[in-house]
Amino acid sequence: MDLSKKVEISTNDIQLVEQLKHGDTDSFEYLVREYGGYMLAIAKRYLHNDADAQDTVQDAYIRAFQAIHNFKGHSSIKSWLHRITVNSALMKLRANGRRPVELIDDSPSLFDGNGKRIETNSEITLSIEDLAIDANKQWLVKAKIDLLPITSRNLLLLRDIEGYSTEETSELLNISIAAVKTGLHRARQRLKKSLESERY
Amino acid sequence: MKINNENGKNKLELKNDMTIQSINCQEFEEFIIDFLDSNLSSMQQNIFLKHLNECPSCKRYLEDYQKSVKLSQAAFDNKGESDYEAMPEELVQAILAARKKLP
Ligand SMILES: [Zn+2]
Repeated sequence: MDLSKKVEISTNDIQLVEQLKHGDTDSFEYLVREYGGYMLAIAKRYLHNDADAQDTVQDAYIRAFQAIHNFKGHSSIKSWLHRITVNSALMKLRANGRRPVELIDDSPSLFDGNGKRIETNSEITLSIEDLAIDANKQWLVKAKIDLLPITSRNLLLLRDIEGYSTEETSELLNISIAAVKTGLHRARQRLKKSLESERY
Repeated sequence: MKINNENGKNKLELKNDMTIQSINCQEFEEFIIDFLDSNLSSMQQNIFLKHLNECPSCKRYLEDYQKSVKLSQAAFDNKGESDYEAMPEELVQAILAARKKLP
């Protein structure tokens, strides 16, 4: 999924947006019923408590309703709502504060004085195929991602799972492009280490 | 990871203007993100790939790094099943009610 691509906005979307801008109640209800389940699924990637995820979707709809006049049609309604949902989920996470993190050795890669990699003999034994056939293994990797420190987890979700670009991620998290890159590398490295620490 | 040196330019950028040299493992690692995002110039990419071909430890590192990214994506892959959750009716009603309260 590449959300940075300009999506040709459909006639349906254009019509719907026009009706929403005029405050049409039925159109708003349609929007809630049509995309609510999708937004709930996204919110649950960030928030595991059902009540929090539902609050997030409600916040997102209210923000969408208030911002509909700014909808320029550069994207489909679905990806516009996707982004608002991610934003609301990030705000909810901030409001919730600390969550448990796995205490893993997250020291960066080691190099000698000449910048040569000092090798460890760790490797990831889990395979992509394992995940395709075993939902428990999928759950296990998700749990590993959940236990990353919050910034690492958010960066990983936004860049690698949601498919947002570095620039979009920098806007969503309000951090610099360089910070997105450094942080993403760290996040991937943390997850890599965490996956290496398991024998499957 | 340190992306920039004191001049605010990374080493590969500096080297871009000069004759192609080699980079060490540490420098290699600083460019993995840009490499995977196809953000390196062709000259930078050549230097990157040269190290990759010559260094078995970085090759192994990058393989596991990419595997880890793919695993995270596979963890969220619902294999063609709907990416929609069931939307509870109470939530629909709560949202509609909240909208009515808005000015
Ligand atoms: Zn190397």
